[in-house]
Amino acid sequence: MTATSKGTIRLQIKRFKEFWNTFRRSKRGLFGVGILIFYIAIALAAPLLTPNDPIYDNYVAGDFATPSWFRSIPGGEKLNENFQLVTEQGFPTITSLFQEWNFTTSSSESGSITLRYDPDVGNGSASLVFRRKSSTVLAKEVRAHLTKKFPFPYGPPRRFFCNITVFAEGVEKVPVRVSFTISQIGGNQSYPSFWSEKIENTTKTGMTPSPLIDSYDPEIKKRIGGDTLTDPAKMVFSEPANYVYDISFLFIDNKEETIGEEFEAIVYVDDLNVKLYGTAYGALGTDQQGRDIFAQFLYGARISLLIGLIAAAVSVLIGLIVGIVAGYVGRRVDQVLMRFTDVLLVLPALPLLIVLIAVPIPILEGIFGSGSSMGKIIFVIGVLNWMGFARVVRSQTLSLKERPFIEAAKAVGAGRFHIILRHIIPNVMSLIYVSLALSVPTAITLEAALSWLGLYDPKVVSWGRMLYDAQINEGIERLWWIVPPGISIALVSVSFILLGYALDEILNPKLRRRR
Amino acid sequence: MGRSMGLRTYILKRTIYSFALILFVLALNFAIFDLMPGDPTALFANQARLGGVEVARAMEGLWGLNQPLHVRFVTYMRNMLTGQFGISYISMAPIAEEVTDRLLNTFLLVGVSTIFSIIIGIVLGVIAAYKRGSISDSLLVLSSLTTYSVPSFWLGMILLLVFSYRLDWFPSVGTTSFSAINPAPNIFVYITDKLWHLFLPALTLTLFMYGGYLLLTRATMLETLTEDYIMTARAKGLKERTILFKHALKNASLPLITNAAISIGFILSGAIITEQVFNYPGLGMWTWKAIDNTDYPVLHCIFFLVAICVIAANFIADLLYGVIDPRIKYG
Repeated sequence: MTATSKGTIRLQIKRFKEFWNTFRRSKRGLFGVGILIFYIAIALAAPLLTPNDPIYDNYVAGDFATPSWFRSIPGGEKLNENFQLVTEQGFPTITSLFQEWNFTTSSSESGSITLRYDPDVGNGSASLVFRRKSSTVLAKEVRAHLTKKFPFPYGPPRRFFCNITVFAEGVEKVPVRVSFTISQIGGNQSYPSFWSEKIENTTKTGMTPSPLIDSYDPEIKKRIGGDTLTDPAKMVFSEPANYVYDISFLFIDNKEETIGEEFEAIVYVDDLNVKLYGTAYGALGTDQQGRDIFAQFLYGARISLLIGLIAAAVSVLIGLIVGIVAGYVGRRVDQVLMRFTDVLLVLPALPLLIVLIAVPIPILEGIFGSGSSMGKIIFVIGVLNWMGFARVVRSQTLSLKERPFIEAAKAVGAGRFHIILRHIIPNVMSLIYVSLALSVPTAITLEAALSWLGLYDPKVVSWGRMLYDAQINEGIERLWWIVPPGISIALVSVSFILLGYALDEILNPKLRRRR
Repeated sequence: MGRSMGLRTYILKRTIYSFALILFVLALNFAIFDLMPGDPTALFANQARLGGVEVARAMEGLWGLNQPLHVRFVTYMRNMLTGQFGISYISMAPIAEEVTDRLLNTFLLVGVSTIFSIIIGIVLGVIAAYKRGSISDSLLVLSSLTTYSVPSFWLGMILLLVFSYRLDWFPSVGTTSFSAINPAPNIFVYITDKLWHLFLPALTLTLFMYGGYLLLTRATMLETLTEDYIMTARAKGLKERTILFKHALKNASLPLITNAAISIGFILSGAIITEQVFNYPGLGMWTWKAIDNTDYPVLHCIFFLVAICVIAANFIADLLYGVIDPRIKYG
């Protein structure tokens, strides 16, 4: 590093310190910077603050879940969090089977069922082994139950989902009917089993219910509730109570031709799980697809800030170029550019913006790709937002052009580019900072308005899109859904405006208007 | 340059400039939508129910889409300049007939909220300037910054939620109740009903706009209040209210007028969003529907009208300068 560049850096640091000492005295400016730091922090730390993806993690809880903290306010006692019958699918250890599950069998005189732990099937499975007492006597029907009790002292879950995998051996000779259901202990179960299947062939690949036992599936609704309008979740979990998950096995030993054979019929049960989707989740609940609203809020800060900053930078850059060219080159170029600016200023900005975003424009689709529209949104907002700044830069350039130091530069033979880069731009730098700060709120609110009209980028979630989702899903009554993004848009905008004013007062003392 | 000219020359110059601007706008307006790749006949071509490709071709002929560029441009210019605006692709009705009601609705909304926001902005701005540095000044500034920054659609949603859904004081959609126009009512019922529907959208727009006027009034008043003639007025023993609103405000109102004129376009953008929130059938909702349906003649009409409004407002503001402040030299 050369001595001069070291000196330059030292000078820059010194200048920044001076600037900071002045800035520190502006209470409003500090307030703005404080809010901004907060939002930038949550935007950056989003992945640390939530494990959920804001768009792709569907059903982290039931859809339209309320925030978790609703459970601690009166009236919210019946709201439930997500509940899983087993924390790890299957039976990973032998104790998990024999301590947590209850095995009962109606072994008759001629046949018996024993429960065995089989660590080698799947990631550990429960095996029910059927044997005849005597190979010559058919056992007729022998039944066994594998049950697990669980308390559910809440109102109905939003949705439930059950899974089970069954492998079978030797069932060609003794078919087995496997079925499972959940019922209230002491209640009158008036609905059929969730799933019931007679297995007559050896299956090594495992058999799972098809369709999966999902209370939202119309077929399951019909099976359990009788019609597609009944909600099985409300039917099964009608009141706070203790419930039992019950898998029943019915070995049907009545094939005359197998008399005299020595064999075992085995059913392996694995991967069984029950998930009750909560009606309360996280800090801000969930949206219409059960996605975490808090995650959307955090990641939304990223997108809204990103779009705001980049679009503001684009508009400031365009305004700078147009303003300097118009002001410095002057004459006809100035006329054309300024009339073009005037025309853009009188056209209605928002409709124009909507048209440019809503209609696919081949050139822009080519540049930004057609899958994600964020680039296009940023570009179009930037392109329609530079006119005011261009005017300011132009008038500043016009006045700078006549100053003696530019004359002097010209006299020693400096070219246009040199003068613009070395003399004009450094002198409008303070305007650039201020305009940048004041353009961000415009860009953020424009993006929010576009998203709210439905013109969002499907691949990302912004605060405006959250409001759109709330609006079209009639979630506007859900204050926890619409207040955080709305307030945040306002706060971020206010903080940028306050920052802009503070910068304006410090950097442009000559141009300053009292505010 | 530097040489001042008479009022007449100035008006002439501004008039010529405004007309030139209108011509520019007309050309750009045509270019924007003509270069758009969206095909308005796609609606028909894609839906057999509407007649499929044959109808689409017929529509193309009817709308003159298959004609060469210069013919379309001439038709477009004739439509715009005669105020006929052509025929909507979607409703098939002459746009000139459809535009009137919507324009009136939007003008009513924008007019009422502009007037209210200017009054509120000026009064509060004068108070803030008078009490500068106090807590109430800070609160006024902060509140106007906040309402200015809150997205107008969000503000609308909250007002809708509180005053329409929860309290049920105001309707959530439209401009008139069915009962107020059917059977033919007395004029009093009709007007009350209109105002009742107008209240929430107008409140939204007013809240959205007043902050800008407040800040501007405050800024110009602060400057004016340091002038010598204010001190003279105080020395004469005039009432503080007279000094503020008669002497100071009159001189501080110049930037307000320019600002009100320039922000007409901006206000119309706000109106689009607000109309969308309240399902208020004005230009805004019409624009959105037209964009959705690639109804280009309607968009031509709306863009043209908005541009004319903005240009006219700027023109009037330029002229008003002279009336309010005779010291102004034109040039």
